[in-house]
Amino acid sequence: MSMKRFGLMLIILVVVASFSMAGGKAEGQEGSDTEPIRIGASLALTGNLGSAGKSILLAWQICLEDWNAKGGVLGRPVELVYYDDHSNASEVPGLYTKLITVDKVDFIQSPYGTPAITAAMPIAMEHGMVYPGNAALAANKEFNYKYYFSFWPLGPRQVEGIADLFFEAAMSSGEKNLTVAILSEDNEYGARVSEGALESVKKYGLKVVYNDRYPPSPATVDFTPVVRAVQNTGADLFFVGSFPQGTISIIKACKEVGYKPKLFGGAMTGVAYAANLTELGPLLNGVCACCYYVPEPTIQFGNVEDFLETYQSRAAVEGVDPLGYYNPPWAYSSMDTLLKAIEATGSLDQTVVGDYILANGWDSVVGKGAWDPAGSGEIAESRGFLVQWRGIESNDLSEFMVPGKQVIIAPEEYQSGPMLWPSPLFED
Amino acid sequence: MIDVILNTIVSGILIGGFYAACAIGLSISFGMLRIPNIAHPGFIIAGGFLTYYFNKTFGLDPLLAGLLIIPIFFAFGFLLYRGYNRFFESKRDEREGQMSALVLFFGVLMIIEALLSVTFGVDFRTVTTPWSSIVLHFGSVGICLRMAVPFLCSVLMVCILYLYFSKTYLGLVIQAVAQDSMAATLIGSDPRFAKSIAFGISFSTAAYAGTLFVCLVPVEPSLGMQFLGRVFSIAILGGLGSPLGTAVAGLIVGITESLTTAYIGSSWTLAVSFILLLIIIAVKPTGLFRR
Amino acid sequence: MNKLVVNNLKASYQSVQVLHDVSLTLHEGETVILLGTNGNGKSTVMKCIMGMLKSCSGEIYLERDGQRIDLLGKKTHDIVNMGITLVPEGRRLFPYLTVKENLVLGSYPHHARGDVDENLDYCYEIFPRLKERHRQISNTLSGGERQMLAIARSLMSKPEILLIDEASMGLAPVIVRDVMVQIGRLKDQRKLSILLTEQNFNQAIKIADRGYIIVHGSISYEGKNKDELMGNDLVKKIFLGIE
Ligand SMILES: Nc1ncnc2c1ncn2[C@@H]1O[C@H](COP(=O)(O)OP(=O)(O)OP(=O)(O)O)[C@@H](O)[C@H]1O
Ligand SMILES: [Mg+2]
Repeated sequence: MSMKRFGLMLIILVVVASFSMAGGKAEGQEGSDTEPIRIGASLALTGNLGSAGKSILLAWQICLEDWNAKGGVLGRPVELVYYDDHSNASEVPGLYTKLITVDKVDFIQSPYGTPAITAAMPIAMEHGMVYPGNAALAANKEFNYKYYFSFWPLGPRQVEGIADLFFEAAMSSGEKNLTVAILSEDNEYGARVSEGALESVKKYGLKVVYNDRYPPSPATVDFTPVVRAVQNTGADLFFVGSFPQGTISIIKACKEVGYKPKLFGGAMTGVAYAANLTELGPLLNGVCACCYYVPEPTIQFGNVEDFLETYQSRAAVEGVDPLGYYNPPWAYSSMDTLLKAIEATGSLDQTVVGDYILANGWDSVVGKGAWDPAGSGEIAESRGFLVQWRGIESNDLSEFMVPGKQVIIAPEEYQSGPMLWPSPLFED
Repeated sequence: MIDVILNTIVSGILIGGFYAACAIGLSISFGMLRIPNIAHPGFIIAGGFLTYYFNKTFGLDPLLAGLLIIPIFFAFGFLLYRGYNRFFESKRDEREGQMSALVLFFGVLMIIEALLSVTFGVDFRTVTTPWSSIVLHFGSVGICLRMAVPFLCSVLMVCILYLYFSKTYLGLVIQAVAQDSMAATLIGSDPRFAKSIAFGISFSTAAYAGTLFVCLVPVEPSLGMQFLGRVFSIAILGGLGSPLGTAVAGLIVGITESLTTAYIGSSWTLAVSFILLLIIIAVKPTGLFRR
Repeated sequence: MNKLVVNNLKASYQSVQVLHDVSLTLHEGETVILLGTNGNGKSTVMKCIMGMLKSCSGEIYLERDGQRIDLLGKKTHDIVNMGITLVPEGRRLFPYLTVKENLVLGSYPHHARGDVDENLDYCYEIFPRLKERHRQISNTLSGGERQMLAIARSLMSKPEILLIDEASMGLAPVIVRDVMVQIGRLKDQRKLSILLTEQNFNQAIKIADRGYIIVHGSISYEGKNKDELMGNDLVKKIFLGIE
């Protein structure tokens, strides 16, 4: 009997383990004469960040296919070696150590998101690897690593800068004595958004009447009490720093309690994902949020449209985010810039390639630019902008693929239409 | 002023009812059957995704889709208990069995998450119905159906379970088995059968709680793991094994959270409800309603 | 004539044999006592009859309308459904249920469900205390009340054969007498066959038709009637303290 029991435990362990370790996968051309150049990474393919992780993976795969179709890098095929880190940053250092020392990859790409990217930073530094970052907030602040390159559109002022866009837009209405409510998720992201908002508010001389943080999902299931508390202050501007679930729930709660601030939104993440956009549909009308790509005529970033076309045709098949407005263009650029540097220098040496990227900046489907001269590893100038939705009539995805519905209201450089003031919230 | 208090309390009551629906199945499995099913929230999320699937594919109203998946979950729970009984319960002493069961259910929780991620992707999913956005006004109190409908379903669920466990033979037998399994055989019942039914019921409530969950807010596969703490606290607070206790505990937590959010600040919400839990457990270690 | 027969019963707990050779018969309408001091195996005999002990061998069967029904190897709940029920040692009530809920549960076997109300009335009639306290949680009852409830609960299943293990344990002599009187009445009113284990010889003998004495797991004496039992040396020595 005890053998049987033992056997059962063993089966369970094996099943659990096989899910949690889901082995590294190598992709690339098979049967090639030359040894492939191997790029290693871990990605959040499952867990709460899986949606982003999967779209990044697809972008990378498209990038490698593009290169391999052209004959590879340095005449050698390029191959991706990746592991799933289950959105769990504590798994990341181990995976990168394995990639570098056991799998002996030639170059690495960062995992997705600030916690994971910071977690693997010491490993990259220890081995002197070039470390292209994929969507982190100021990950290099403590490390100041020379070869960390953040492929993320926020620029040196980071999320704090989103608040500037929001309050700048509000100021442009010309209205005086506006009051402000700030609400953000109780995590690192929310903290920094709130911090930036407070700075911004001071700069523009506005008055804060509410400032609080809500426990991250799923601790907060019902947002009506907190939104009602905000409503009760009668704030004119409602600035929100939320993660996707919060974004959806806060917008719904505002509609339900009938709160209509003059400007609403800001640093609400998740609004670039098709699933969330279609979920909200007309509820988005009047809402503002920071975006990095929308199909507006003022957005002329490199050849991002071509990339998105390829991406969207593939994404539909592979079941990842069908729009790809958020991470994919930057993830593609991250991989592409790295490969370009290898090709240009003709070297697999980390220092040579790293110095090249540092000197020549980034250059790919999102356009080109330099790095922050202060050495933060961020791009020199922010590429974020504030969108105000309007004229959304249904929950159909096609609503979000045509110009004129996601109008850019700030900064001036990208502005594609006038701000609607006060914002006509939730009106179909 | 009074409007805000009223609205806040109403919100708390509505969400509290939903909490009760989430915790009641755990109260049955952990409280009555002593099975530490920490995979319970995972099954809630699975129920949510299945509801989402039926809604998106066949256009079924989620509340109806939820009813359709109940038999699936019931059968699954029923059979799972058979296996659990065979390999864990009957073969070792209780303490040891529970420890290894903990490992088992943790594995199950992870497998559910992985399966959901593979099948449905890792995006947030929610179900929007024609009634979702309706807000009813009673004087100054606004009640949105997105919250109220899940609340009513939860209340109905608690009532049905309460009546089932106190008025029907099988319901009483399940309680009897929980209290003294040997004596239960002496009244001519088969404890294994009774427990299988109870576990099936526990799973059914998870399924329907999941249905209510996707109606309320967007869910994604890893939410189960994160929701574990709250579901356990409410089950314990209510006094394990008591449907009414769980309902009251859910309401207490809901109202506390709501009031804290409105008057102390939403960053205190978790802390305050946790302190409340500690106080109640300190004063009444068996929870609110355990006799 | 219907009867319950136990023949050459052997039983052991984890390889320690505690019953060596037990044979006894319970005829329809009889009250039989199984006498024995602590640890001689009375409860074990009861458990074997009820199918609660896997490691027993020998023969246990019912003879009903000339048919033989083997009980050995059957599940407890199936045996209960055949009309045999046990009031176990230590009463084993459902502690957090009310008196009434305990009683209703007693009628769980299908053949008893139709007559719940009738049986409830009957139980309340022979044990009026239970009626007064029908909403009380059973673990707050007194010892005597609990014993009444345990017996009443077993009656709710409309048994033909009632096994009672230590009806008098922990009860004051006056209560023991009451309980015995009630058991005696039961037999007459319900045509029950009763097998009773007891240490209180004086009380038990009042209602017994005959009895067995079990010593170290074997039947060492069988008394065909009250007088034989009272006159027996073993009984005198063990239960009456007469040398
Ligand atoms: N579960 C058990 N495991 C091991 N030994 C047991 C077990 N139950 C009973 N025994 C042993 O079997 C023997 C007979 O026990 P049993 O309970 O049948 O005695 P009894 O005649 O009912 O005694 P009492 O009058 O004290 O109730 C005792 O020696 C006892 O220690
Ligand atoms: Mg005994």
